[in-house]
Amino acid sequence: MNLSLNAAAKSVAIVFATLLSWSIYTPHAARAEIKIKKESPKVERYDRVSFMRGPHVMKYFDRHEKTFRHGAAIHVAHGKAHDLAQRTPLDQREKADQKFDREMVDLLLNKAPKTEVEMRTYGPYVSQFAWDLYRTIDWTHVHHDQTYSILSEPSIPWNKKREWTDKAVRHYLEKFDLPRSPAPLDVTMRRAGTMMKPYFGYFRTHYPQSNSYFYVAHWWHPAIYEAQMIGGNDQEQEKAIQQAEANLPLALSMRPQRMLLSREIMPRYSALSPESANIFDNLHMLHGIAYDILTYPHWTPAQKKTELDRVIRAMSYQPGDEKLARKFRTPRHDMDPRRYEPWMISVEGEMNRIMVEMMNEMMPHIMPKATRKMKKDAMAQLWQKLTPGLQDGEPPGSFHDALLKISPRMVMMSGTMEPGESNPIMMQTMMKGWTEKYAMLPELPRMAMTREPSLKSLQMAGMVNTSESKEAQK
Amino acid sequence: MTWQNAFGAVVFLITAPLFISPVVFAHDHTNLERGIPIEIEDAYPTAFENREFQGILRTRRTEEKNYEYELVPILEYGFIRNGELELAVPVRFLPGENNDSGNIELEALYNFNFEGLLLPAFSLKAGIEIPTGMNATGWAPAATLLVSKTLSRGSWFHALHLNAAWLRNSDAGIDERLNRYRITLGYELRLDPNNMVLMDLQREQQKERKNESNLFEIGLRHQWNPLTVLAIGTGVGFSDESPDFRATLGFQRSITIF
Repeated sequence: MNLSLNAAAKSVAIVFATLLSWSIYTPHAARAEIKIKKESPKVERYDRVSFMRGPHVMKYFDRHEKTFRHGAAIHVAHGKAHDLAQRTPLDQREKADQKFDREMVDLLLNKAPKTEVEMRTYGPYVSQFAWDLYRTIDWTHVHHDQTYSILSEPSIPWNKKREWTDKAVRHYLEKFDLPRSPAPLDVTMRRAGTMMKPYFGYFRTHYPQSNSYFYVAHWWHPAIYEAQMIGGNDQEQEKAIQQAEANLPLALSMRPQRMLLSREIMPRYSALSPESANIFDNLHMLHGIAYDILTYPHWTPAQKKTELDRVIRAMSYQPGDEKLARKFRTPRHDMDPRRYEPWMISVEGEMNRIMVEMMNEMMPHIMPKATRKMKKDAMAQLWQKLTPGLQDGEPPGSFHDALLKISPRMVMMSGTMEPGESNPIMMQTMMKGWTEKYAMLPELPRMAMTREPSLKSLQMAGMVNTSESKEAQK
Repeated sequence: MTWQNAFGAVVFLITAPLFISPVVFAHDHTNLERGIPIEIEDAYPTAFENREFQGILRTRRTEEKNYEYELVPILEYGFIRNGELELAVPVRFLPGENNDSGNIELEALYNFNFEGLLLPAFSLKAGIEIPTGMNATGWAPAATLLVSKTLSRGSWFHALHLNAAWLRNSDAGIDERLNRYRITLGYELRLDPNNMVLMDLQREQQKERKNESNLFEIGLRHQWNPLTVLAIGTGVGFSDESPDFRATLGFQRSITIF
């Protein structure tokens, strides 16, 4: 057997010359302007984008493998829930809900995968008519991984974490055509205008166990960020994460009854990067709305795609959103992510405060002649719809249907319940309501990252709060 | 230097950068590449701006019961949205004259759509083999249509793929074909988050007139960790001119050192 050494040497030289030339070329130029698609394309483009390079890449996996795996298990559940909601017949939902929850809890606690999954490998049916939803979710999961990794990478000094996180946010917003908005959920929910849609609350009502699994997931994700924020760059980061992780079985047995927001569970990270924190809230809300739409049994896949495309675009980045990023409060700025506390479980919290505010803004327009009792009943219905599962006295079906029973002459613009349609008057009314309440709210100051936190000093002070975040709250 | 030493040196040179590069991320697990570990390729490109290093080590036993070896380093780059470039330099270790070893293969793939419930995904791939290798003669252009369709009606992910290639031999000898085809039909199935099993059936016209080969392959793609995709595959031929047997090892890694 002969070998041509010349040929082999030539080949190797060519490969390495090419590798070297690529190393010099770094194509990270930002687009001059971000264009948001308005339409619902019939044929979707593949359009995937690669992650941001830097010293942080995969450090989250290297340093916190068990935690990384928990995130991967949650993302399996997210992928799988799409097909669960879409494909399960009405009469099998209760059984399917329990089975899904049982399997996903087992995967999370006992069989967490060692690698991340793409949505389409666990929800392949829905991928074939709602690809923009999947690539939006996958891209935001990449952002999750990047920002966890930036906080995990010890070679990035504490006072450079913000710089790198901002860089990751820019990469997220500029490289992809449908990024989640960096504006607070208060704004994007008003823009999406889903409350009066016929699918509102369907997943929460028909899959209460699976829904609360995701409420646990949306506690867990920010709790890990916040553990990194109080642990600092050194070994205390491992310790803080382990302590936060230890609450996972407890959280699964006593689950939150609402979607927890970044500002509640990761106030320090929210002060470090409100843009990134809002992006996570907007993704988590998109998960919930998508499951509602897919659970709704009266629309075809094409109609569901149209509505999903509307919601995806309404909650995506719009020029100027970055100016609103700091327009929220952190209600518990000194919370300890290593504790799982009763206030996290309650149905009352920031998420449902937003929903109640929106309802109060809408009510004078849709129920102009409502009596005090009708308003009270309407609000009681809303709280029932916001609570997972079918409550005593709660009519099955949409919130809109429930309101019609209270106020049969309810005013709705014709066609706005249809897939892909929105009610611009209602959205403007709600945005006006938000502006009146929050436009003058002082912006949440950025967290000073000048001093690396220490668990010991926090304990000695009898609190987990840092002086910097206190300043941020003033 | 014996051929074994030379072989070892080449393997070392090709793979050494992978083990010293500090950070790499194989997020391309579901994106099937030709030869990793079997011939079927899906219709989807690598992500925009992804830079990936791939390697294939292949052996096959010919109908004359000789073993042939091939080492293929590949660089892949998502140079535009929905498009990729691939540069490969197969190095062959043949018992005979080792013709074409060291030829440069340059390919560009462009994807037109993501699949729908009925419509498959389509891509076109154009390539050229540049005669830079051992005893190489003519340039060899090629064009391939790639089609992919997910079959799933639930959360069990499985898909069919079809690759139909036209291959041109611009310097065909008297006993060689000027134009030939290669058709591959493949099946992909997710076993769990880390493992995919692949199967394909390939029919190819050989350069030599009247020769055709048929090959059945099966392979496994395993995401070892977020840093590494490993692949192993094997195939058997079932006609006179087909290889008796072939085995492939492959890997994929995204480059993050730049």
